[in-house]
Amino acid sequence: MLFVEQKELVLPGTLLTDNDYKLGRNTFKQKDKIYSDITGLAYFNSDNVTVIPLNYKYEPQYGDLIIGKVLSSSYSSWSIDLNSTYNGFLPTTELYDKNEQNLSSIINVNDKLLLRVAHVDEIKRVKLTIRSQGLGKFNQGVIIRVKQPTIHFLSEENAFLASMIRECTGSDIIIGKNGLIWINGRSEEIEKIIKIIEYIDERPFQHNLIKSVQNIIATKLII
Amino acid sequence: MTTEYVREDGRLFNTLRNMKLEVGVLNNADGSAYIECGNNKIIVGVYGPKELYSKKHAKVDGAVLRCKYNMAPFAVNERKRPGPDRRSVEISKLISEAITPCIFLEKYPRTSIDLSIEVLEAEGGTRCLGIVGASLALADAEIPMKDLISACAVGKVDDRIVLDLSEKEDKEGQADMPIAILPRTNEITFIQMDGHLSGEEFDEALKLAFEGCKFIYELQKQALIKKHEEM
Repeated sequence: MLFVEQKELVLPGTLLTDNDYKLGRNTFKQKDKIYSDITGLAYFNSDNVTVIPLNYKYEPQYGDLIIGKVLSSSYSSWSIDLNSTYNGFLPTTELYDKNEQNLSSIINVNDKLLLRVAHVDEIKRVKLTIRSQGLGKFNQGVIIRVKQPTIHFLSEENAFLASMIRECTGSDIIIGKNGLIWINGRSEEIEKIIKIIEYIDERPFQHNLIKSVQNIIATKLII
Repeated sequence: MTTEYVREDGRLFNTLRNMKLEVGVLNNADGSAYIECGNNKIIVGVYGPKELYSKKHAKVDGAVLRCKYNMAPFAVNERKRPGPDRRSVEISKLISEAITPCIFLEKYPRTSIDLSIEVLEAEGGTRCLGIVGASLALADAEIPMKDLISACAVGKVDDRIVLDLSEKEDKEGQADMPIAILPRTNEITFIQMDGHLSGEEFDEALKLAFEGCKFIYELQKQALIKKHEEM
Protein backbone atom coordinates (compact mmCIF):
# COMPACT_ATOMS: atom_id res chain seq x y z
CA MET A 1 0.00 0.00 0.00
CA LEU A 2 1.26 3.49 -0.82
CA PHE A 3 0.76 6.08 1.89
CA VAL A 4 1.64 9.14 -0.20
CA GLU A 5 0.88 10.06 -3.79
CA GLN A 6 3.35 10.28 -6.64
CA LYS A 7 5.29 13.59 -6.49
CA GLU A 8 3.85 14.51 -3.10
CA LEU A 9 5.89 16.63 -0.68
CA VAL A 10 7.26 14.44 2.12
CA LEU A 11 9.11 15.31 5.32
CA PRO A 12 11.79 13.41 7.27
CA GLY A 13 10.17 10.33 8.80
CA THR A 14 7.11 10.27 6.54
CA LEU A 15 5.83 6.73 5.92
CA LEU A 16 6.02 6.10 2.16
CA THR A 17 4.97 2.48 1.65
CA ASP A 18 4.89 -0.97 3.24
CA ASN A 19 5.16 -2.78 -0.10
CA ASP A 20 8.28 -4.69 -1.04
CA TYR A 21 9.97 -1.86 -2.95
CA LYS A 22 13.71 -1.44 -3.36
CA LEU A 23 15.26 1.43 -1.48
CA GLY A 24 16.16 4.38 -3.68
CA ARG A 25 17.83 7.65 -2.78
CA ASN A 26 17.01 9.25 0.57
CA THR A 27 14.86 6.45 1.93
CA PHE A 28 15.38 3.97 4.76
CA LYS A 29 13.71 0.83 6.02
CA GLN A 30 12.47 0.20 9.53
CA LYS A 31 10.36 -2.87 10.45
CA ASP A 32 9.52 -3.66 6.78
CA LYS A 33 8.21 -0.16 6.16
CA ILE A 34 9.91 2.44 3.99
CA TYR A 35 10.31 6.00 5.23
CA SER A 36 11.69 9.18 3.73
CA ASP A 37 14.70 10.76 5.42
CA ILE A 38 14.62 14.20 3.83
CA THR A 39 12.29 17.00 2.76
CA GLY A 40 11.50 16.42 -0.90
CA LEU A 41 9.22 14.92 -3.52
CA ALA A 42 8.42 11.19 -3.46
CA TYR A 43 8.76 9.27 -6.73
CA PHE A 44 7.51 5.68 -7.13
CA ASN A 45 9.19 3.86 -10.01
CA SER A 46 8.40 0.34 -11.18
CA ASP A 47 10.43 -1.39 -8.47
CA ASN A 48 12.00 1.29 -6.30
CA VAL A 49 11.00 4.41 -4.43
CA THR A 50 13.10 7.58 -4.22
CA VAL A 51 12.79 11.00 -2.66
CA ILE A 52 14.15 13.87 -4.75
CA PRO A 53 15.38 16.73 -2.55
CA LEU A 54 14.30 20.22 -3.58
CA ASN A 55 17.60 21.93 -3.03
CA TYR A 56 20.65 19.79 -2.57
CA LYS A 57 24.39 19.87 -2.99
CA TYR A 58 26.35 17.99 -5.63
CA GLU A 59 27.64 14.54 -4.65
CA PRO A 60 30.78 13.55 -6.59
CA GLN A 61 30.49 10.37 -8.63
CA TYR A 62 32.93 8.55 -10.87
CA GLY A 63 33.06 9.95 -14.39
CA ASP A 64 31.22 13.23 -13.81
CA LEU A 65 32.29 16.26 -15.82
CA ILE A 66 32.79 19.14 -13.41
CA ILE A 67 33.96 22.74 -13.31
CA GLY A 68 36.23 23.53 -10.39
CA LYS A 69 38.21 26.41 -8.93
CA VAL A 70 41.75 25.94 -7.63
CA LEU A 71 41.85 26.72 -3.91
CA SER A 72 45.44 26.01 -2.99
CA SER A 73 48.47 24.13 -4.18
CA SER A 74 50.86 21.90 -2.29
CA TYR A 75 54.00 20.11 -3.48
CA SER A 76 52.13 17.09 -4.82
CA SER A 77 48.56 18.19 -5.53
CA TRP A 78 46.08 21.02 -6.01
CA SER A 79 43.00 21.39 -3.87
CA ILE A 80 39.90 22.13 -5.96
CA ASP A 81 36.61 23.69 -4.88
CA LEU A 82 33.84 21.53 -6.38
CA ASN A 83 30.81 23.54 -5.19
CA SER A 84 30.01 20.52 -3.04
CA THR A 85 30.39 19.30 0.54
CA TYR A 86 33.83 17.92 -0.21
CA ASN A 87 36.87 19.44 -1.93
CA GLY A 88 38.64 17.47 -4.62
CA PHE A 89 42.35 16.99 -5.22
CA LEU A 90 44.23 16.98 -8.49
CA PRO A 91 47.63 15.25 -8.29
CA THR A 92 50.56 16.95 -10.05
CA THR A 93 51.27 13.64 -11.80
CA GLU A 94 48.23 14.46 -13.94
CA LEU A 95 50.22 17.09 -15.85
CA TYR A 96 51.21 16.46 -19.41
CA ASP A 97 54.63 18.03 -19.17
CA LYS A 98 56.61 16.10 -16.58
CA ASN A 99 59.71 18.27 -17.16
CA GLU A 100 58.06 21.53 -16.24
CA GLN A 101 59.57 22.66 -12.95
CA ASN A 102 57.61 25.82 -12.32
CA LEU A 103 54.14 24.41 -11.59
CA SER A 104 52.55 27.81 -11.06
CA SER A 105 53.13 28.61 -14.71
CA ILE A 106 50.61 25.89 -15.60
CA ILE A 107 47.91 25.99 -12.92
CA ASN A 108 47.47 28.83 -10.46
CA VAL A 109 45.24 29.51 -7.50
CA ASN A 110 41.81 30.80 -8.67
CA ASP A 111 42.10 29.18 -12.10
CA LYS A 112 38.87 27.63 -13.36
CA LEU A 113 39.34 24.11 -14.68
CA LEU A 114 37.25 21.60 -16.54
CA LEU A 115 37.86 18.24 -14.92
CA ARG A 116 36.54 14.74 -14.62
CA VAL A 117 36.09 12.72 -11.41
CA ALA A 118 38.62 9.87 -11.50
CA HIS A 119 37.82 8.16 -8.23
CA VAL A 120 35.71 8.57 -5.07
CA ASP A 121 36.60 6.37 -2.11
CA GLU A 122 34.63 5.27 0.98
CA ILE A 123 35.47 8.37 2.98
CA LYS A 124 34.57 10.61 0.05
CA ARG A 125 38.05 11.69 -1.00
CA VAL A 126 37.60 12.94 -4.53
CA LYS A 127 40.44 12.35 -6.96
CA LEU A 128 40.21 14.35 -10.18
CA THR A 129 41.79 14.04 -13.59
CA ILE A 130 42.67 16.54 -16.31
CA ARG A 131 44.11 13.96 -18.75
CA SER A 132 41.29 13.45 -21.18
CA GLN A 133 39.84 14.85 -24.38
CA GLY A 134 38.73 18.46 -24.01
CA LEU A 135 39.64 18.93 -20.35
CA GLY A 136 41.77 21.82 -19.20
CA LYS A 137 41.82 25.44 -18.15
CA PHE A 138 39.17 28.03 -19.10
CA ASN A 139 40.63 31.17 -20.63
CA GLN A 140 37.43 33.00 -21.51
CA GLY A 141 33.66 32.81 -21.08
CA VAL A 142 31.22 33.21 -18.23
CA ILE A 143 30.51 30.72 -15.43
CA ILE A 144 27.13 30.82 -13.70
CA ARG A 145 25.94 28.92 -10.65
CA VAL A 146 22.57 27.15 -10.67
CA LYS A 147 20.70 24.77 -8.40
CA GLN A 148 21.22 21.03 -8.68
CA PRO A 149 17.70 20.21 -10.04
CA THR A 150 18.41 22.52 -13.01
CA ILE A 151 21.54 20.54 -13.86
CA HIS A 152 19.54 17.33 -13.64
CA PHE A 153 16.92 18.83 -15.97
CA LEU A 154 19.50 20.00 -18.52
CA SER A 155 21.75 16.97 -18.54
CA GLU A 156 19.62 13.82 -18.46
CA GLU A 157 16.95 13.11 -21.06
CA ASN A 158 16.69 16.79 -22.02
CA ALA A 159 20.30 17.18 -23.15
CA PHE A 160 18.95 18.18 -26.56
CA LEU A 161 17.97 21.55 -25.04
CA ALA A 162 21.62 22.42 -24.53
CA SER A 163 22.53 21.43 -28.08
CA MET A 164 19.51 23.38 -29.34
CA ILE A 165 20.82 26.52 -27.58
CA ARG A 166 24.28 25.83 -29.00
CA GLU A 167 22.98 25.60 -32.55
CA CYS A 168 20.63 28.61 -32.34
CA THR A 169 23.21 31.04 -30.94
CA GLY A 170 26.51 29.71 -32.16
CA SER A 171 27.90 29.88 -28.66
CA ASP A 172 29.47 27.21 -26.49
CA ILE A 173 27.92 25.73 -23.35
CA ILE A 174 29.44 23.24 -20.97
CA ILE A 175 27.23 21.90 -18.21
CA GLY A 176 29.25 20.82 -15.18
CA LYS A 177 27.50 18.23 -13.06
CA ASN A 178 28.42 20.20 -9.93
CA GLY A 179 26.02 23.07 -10.54
CA LEU A 180 28.18 25.35 -12.68
CA ILE A 181 27.56 26.19 -16.33
CA TRP A 182 30.20 27.70 -18.60
CA ILE A 183 29.03 29.85 -21.52
CA ASN A 184 31.13 31.43 -24.22
CA GLY A 185 30.05 33.46 -27.22
CA ARG A 186 29.02 36.98 -28.20
CA SER A 187 28.00 39.04 -25.15
CA GLU A 188 24.40 39.64 -26.27
CA GLU A 189 23.93 35.91 -26.87
CA ILE A 190 25.35 35.12 -23.43
CA GLU A 191 22.81 37.43 -21.81
CA LYS A 192 19.97 35.66 -23.60
CA ILE A 193 21.23 32.23 -22.56
CA ILE A 194 21.62 33.30 -18.94
CA LYS A 195 18.00 34.50 -18.96
CA ILE A 196 16.80 31.10 -20.23
CA ILE A 197 18.82 29.24 -17.60
CA GLU A 198 17.53 31.51 -14.85
CA TYR A 199 13.99 30.78 -16.05
CA ILE A 200 14.63 27.04 -15.59
CA ASP A 201 16.37 27.62 -12.27
CA GLU A 202 13.32 29.32 -10.77
CA ARG A 203 10.93 26.43 -11.49
CA PRO A 204 12.80 23.16 -12.06
CA PHE A 205 9.82 21.01 -11.01
CA GLN A 206 7.15 22.73 -13.11
CA HIS A 207 4.83 20.64 -15.21
CA ASN A 208 5.62 20.73 -18.96
CA LEU A 209 8.77 22.77 -18.44
CA ILE A 210 10.38 21.36 -21.61
CA LYS A 211 7.68 22.82 -23.83
CA SER A 212 7.78 26.29 -22.29
CA VAL A 213 11.57 26.34 -22.52
CA GLN A 214 11.41 25.28 -26.16
CA ASN A 215 8.95 28.10 -26.83
CA ILE A 216 11.23 30.65 -25.21
CA ILE A 217 14.22 29.41 -27.19
CA ALA A 218 12.20 29.64 -30.40
CA THR A 219 10.97 33.18 -29.74
CA LYS A 220 14.09 34.68 -28.16
CA LEU A 221 16.99 33.13 -29.97
CA ILE A 222 15.91 32.46 -33.53
CA ILE A 223 14.37 35.83 -34.28
CA MET B 1 -19.84 20.71 37.43
CA THR B 2 -16.31 20.84 38.77
CA THR B 3 -14.36 24.00 38.15
CA GLU B 4 -11.14 23.29 36.29
CA TYR B 5 -7.81 24.36 37.66
CA VAL B 6 -6.62 27.51 35.92
CA ARG B 7 -2.97 28.49 36.05
CA GLU B 8 -1.62 31.92 36.85
CA ASP B 9 -1.36 32.97 33.21
CA GLY B 10 -4.85 31.67 32.39
CA ARG B 11 -3.87 28.35 30.84
CA LEU B 12 -5.31 24.93 31.68
CA PHE B 13 -3.05 22.09 32.85
CA ASN B 14 -2.56 20.76 29.31
CA THR B 15 -2.29 23.98 27.25
CA LEU B 16 0.91 25.11 25.60
CA ARG B 17 1.85 28.73 25.26
CA ASN B 18 1.10 30.42 21.94
CA MET B 19 3.60 29.09 19.46
CA LYS B 20 4.81 30.42 16.13
CA LEU B 21 7.26 28.46 14.00
CA GLU B 22 8.96 29.79 10.87
CA VAL B 23 11.43 28.07 8.57
CA GLY B 24 14.09 29.54 6.30
CA VAL B 25 14.62 32.93 7.94
CA LEU B 26 18.40 33.27 7.49
CA ASN B 27 19.78 33.78 4.00
CA ASN B 28 23.36 32.70 4.56
CA ALA B 29 22.62 29.55 6.56
CA ASP B 30 21.95 26.20 4.90
CA GLY B 31 18.86 25.82 7.05
CA SER B 32 17.25 27.99 9.70
CA ALA B 33 14.23 28.34 11.93
CA TYR B 34 12.65 30.97 14.16
CA ILE B 35 10.48 30.16 17.17
CA GLU B 36 8.23 32.28 19.31
CA CYS B 37 6.59 30.61 22.27
CA GLY B 38 5.07 32.85 24.91
CA ASN B 39 7.80 35.41 25.46
CA ASN B 40 10.55 33.16 24.15
CA LYS B 41 12.22 34.18 20.92
CA ILE B 42 14.80 31.81 19.49
CA ILE B 43 16.64 31.75 16.18
CA VAL B 44 18.44 28.61 14.97
CA GLY B 45 20.85 28.22 12.06
CA VAL B 46 22.45 25.14 10.53
CA TYR B 47 25.72 25.37 8.59
CA GLY B 48 27.00 22.36 6.71
CA PRO B 49 27.74 19.52 6.25
CA LYS B 50 31.12 20.94 5.24
CA GLU B 51 34.60 19.53 5.32
CA LEU B 52 36.27 19.88 8.70
CA TYR B 53 39.64 21.60 8.45
CA SER B 54 40.93 20.38 11.77
CA LYS B 55 41.72 16.76 10.94
CA LYS B 56 42.17 16.09 14.65
CA HIS B 57 38.47 16.57 15.36
CA ALA B 58 37.14 14.95 12.18
CA LYS B 59 35.76 11.43 12.23
CA VAL B 60 36.40 9.06 9.35
CA ASP B 61 33.12 7.19 9.88
CA GLY B 62 30.71 10.08 10.15
CA ALA B 63 29.97 13.75 10.59
CA VAL B 64 30.59 15.67 13.81
CA LEU B 65 27.61 17.54 15.17
CA ARG B 66 28.71 20.73 16.86
CA CYS B 67 26.09 22.70 18.72
CA LYS B 68 26.38 26.16 20.20
CA TYR B 69 23.70 27.56 22.49
CA ASN B 70 24.04 31.22 23.25
CA MET B 71 21.85 33.58 25.22
CA ALA B 72 21.88 37.25 24.32
CA PRO B 73 22.74 39.67 27.15
CA PHE B 74 19.32 41.31 26.76
CA ALA B 75 17.39 38.01 26.78
CA VAL B 76 16.62 38.04 30.50
CA ASN B 77 15.40 40.72 32.90
CA GLU B 78 18.73 41.17 34.59
CA ARG B 79 21.55 41.62 32.06
CA LYS B 80 23.42 38.39 31.44
CA ARG B 81 27.16 38.54 31.06
CA PRO B 82 27.83 37.87 27.37
CA GLY B 83 29.81 34.84 26.26
CA PRO B 84 29.72 31.16 27.11
CA ASP B 85 29.19 30.15 30.70
CA ARG B 86 28.61 26.92 32.61
CA ARG B 87 24.91 26.79 31.77
CA SER B 88 25.20 27.40 28.03
CA VAL B 89 28.03 24.87 27.65
CA GLU B 90 25.88 22.28 29.41
CA ILE B 91 22.80 23.01 27.30
CA SER B 92 24.88 22.87 24.08
CA LYS B 93 26.03 19.39 25.00
CA LEU B 94 22.51 18.29 25.97
CA ILE B 95 20.99 19.50 22.72
CA SER B 96 23.64 17.92 20.50
CA GLU B 97 23.20 14.60 22.35
CA ALA B 98 19.42 14.82 22.04
CA ILE B 99 19.64 15.34 18.27
CA THR B 100 22.42 12.87 17.41
CA PRO B 101 20.27 9.65 17.47
CA CYS B 102 17.98 10.91 14.71
CA ILE B 103 20.52 12.11 12.11
CA PHE B 104 22.24 9.79 9.63
CA LEU B 105 25.69 11.12 10.49
CA GLU B 106 27.41 8.21 8.70
CA LYS B 107 26.36 9.63 5.31
CA TYR B 108 28.85 12.49 5.59
CA PRO B 109 32.30 11.24 6.68
CA ARG B 110 35.00 13.82 7.54
CA THR B 111 32.54 16.69 7.84
CA SER B 112 30.97 18.82 10.52
CA ILE B 113 27.43 20.05 10.93
CA ASP B 114 27.36 23.28 12.89
CA LEU B 115 24.25 24.26 14.77
CA SER B 116 23.92 27.63 16.39
CA ILE B 117 21.03 28.43 18.69
CA GLU B 118 20.61 32.06 19.61
CA VAL B 119 18.17 32.96 22.39
CA LEU B 120 16.95 36.51 21.84
CA GLU B 121 14.36 36.53 24.62
CA ALA B 122 13.96 33.91 27.35
CA GLU B 123 11.01 33.01 29.50
CA GLY B 124 11.44 29.40 30.59
CA GLY B 125 11.83 26.27 28.48
CA THR B 126 14.52 27.49 26.10
CA ARG B 127 16.33 24.15 25.95
CA CYS B 128 13.19 22.37 24.70
CA LEU B 129 12.48 25.08 22.16
CA GLY B 130 16.12 24.93 21.11
CA ILE B 131 15.68 21.25 20.24
CA VAL B 132 12.41 21.94 18.39
CA GLY B 133 14.08 24.70 16.38
CA ALA B 134 17.21 22.67 15.73
CA SER B 135 15.24 19.79 14.22
CA LEU B 136 13.28 22.22 12.02
CA ALA B 137 16.47 23.88 10.83
CA LEU B 138 18.08 20.49 10.08
CA ALA B 139 15.03 19.47 8.06
CA ASP B 140 15.23 22.79 6.21
CA ALA B 141 18.92 22.17 5.46
CA GLU B 142 17.86 18.81 3.96
CA ILE B 143 20.12 16.76 6.16
CA PRO B 144 18.96 13.11 6.27
CA MET B 145 17.05 12.39 9.46
CA LYS B 146 15.00 9.49 10.83
CA ASP B 147 12.33 11.81 12.16
CA LEU B 148 11.70 15.33 13.39
CA ILE B 149 12.34 15.74 17.10
CA SER B 150 9.89 17.53 19.29
CA ALA B 151 10.37 18.49 22.89
CA CYS B 152 8.48 20.10 25.75
CA ALA B 153 8.62 20.40 29.50
CA VAL B 154 6.23 19.10 32.14
CA GLY B 155 6.29 19.89 35.83
CA LYS B 156 4.47 19.99 39.11
CA VAL B 157 3.01 23.30 40.29
CA ASP B 158 0.66 23.59 43.30
CA ASP B 159 0.54 19.76 43.52
CA ARG B 160 -0.73 19.46 39.97
CA ILE B 161 1.00 18.13 36.87
CA VAL B 162 1.11 20.84 34.20
CA LEU B 163 2.51 21.15 30.67
CA ASP B 164 5.00 23.73 29.33
CA LEU B 165 6.17 25.61 32.40
CA SER B 166 6.74 29.32 32.22
CA GLU B 167 9.69 30.92 33.97
CA LYS B 168 7.70 31.72 37.12
CA GLU B 169 6.23 28.22 37.37
CA ASP B 170 9.67 26.80 36.82
CA LYS B 171 11.09 28.75 39.77
CA GLU B 172 8.19 28.34 42.19
CA GLY B 173 7.02 24.87 41.21
CA GLN B 174 7.93 21.59 42.83
CA ALA B 175 9.31 19.74 39.81
CA ASP B 176 10.42 20.39 36.24
CA MET B 177 11.02 17.72 33.60
CA PRO B 178 12.05 18.57 30.00
CA ILE B 179 11.66 15.70 27.49
CA ALA B 180 12.57 15.27 23.82
CA ILE B 181 11.05 12.43 21.79
CA LEU B 182 10.98 11.01 18.28
CA PRO B 183 7.19 11.13 17.78
CA ARG B 184 6.99 8.44 15.09
CA THR B 185 8.54 5.68 17.20
CA ASN B 186 7.87 7.19 20.65
CA GLU B 187 11.56 6.97 21.54
CA ILE B 188 12.85 9.32 24.22
CA THR B 189 16.14 10.94 23.24
CA PHE B 190 16.51 13.30 26.18
CA ILE B 191 15.03 13.52 29.67
CA GLN B 192 15.98 15.55 32.70
CA MET B 193 14.26 16.13 36.01
CA ASP B 194 14.74 18.31 39.02
CA GLY B 195 12.43 18.41 42.02
CA HIS B 196 10.39 15.54 43.36
CA LEU B 197 7.70 13.40 41.68
CA SER B 198 6.17 10.17 42.96
CA GLY B 199 5.93 7.12 40.69
CA GLU B 200 2.33 7.74 39.63
CA GLU B 201 3.00 11.44 39.12
CA PHE B 202 5.97 10.61 36.92
CA ASP B 203 3.85 8.34 34.71
CA GLU B 204 1.16 10.98 34.45
CA ALA B 205 3.74 13.64 33.62
CA LEU B 206 5.32 11.46 30.95
CA LYS B 207 1.94 10.84 29.31
CA LEU B 208 1.18 14.56 29.33
CA ALA B 209 4.60 15.34 27.83
CA PHE B 210 4.00 12.88 24.99
CA GLU B 211 0.68 14.59 24.19
CA GLY B 212 2.39 17.99 24.18
CA CYS B 213 5.26 16.75 21.99
CA LYS B 214 2.88 15.20 19.46
CA PHE B 215 1.01 18.51 19.21
CA ILE B 216 4.29 20.37 18.61
CA TYR B 217 5.22 17.72 16.00
CA GLU B 218 2.10 18.64 14.00
CA LEU B 219 3.05 22.33 14.19
CA GLN B 220 6.56 21.53 12.96
CA LYS B 221 5.20 19.61 9.98
CA GLN B 222 2.85 22.47 9.12
CA ALA B 223 5.71 24.98 9.28
CA LEU B 224 7.83 22.93 6.87
CA ILE B 225 5.00 22.33 4.43
CA LYS B 226 4.05 26.02 4.52
CA LYS B 227 7.56 27.06 3.46
CA HIS B 228 7.52 24.80 0.42
CA GLU B 229 4.00 25.74 -0.61
CA GLU B 230 5.08 29.37 -0.80
CA MET B 231 7.82 28.40 -3.24
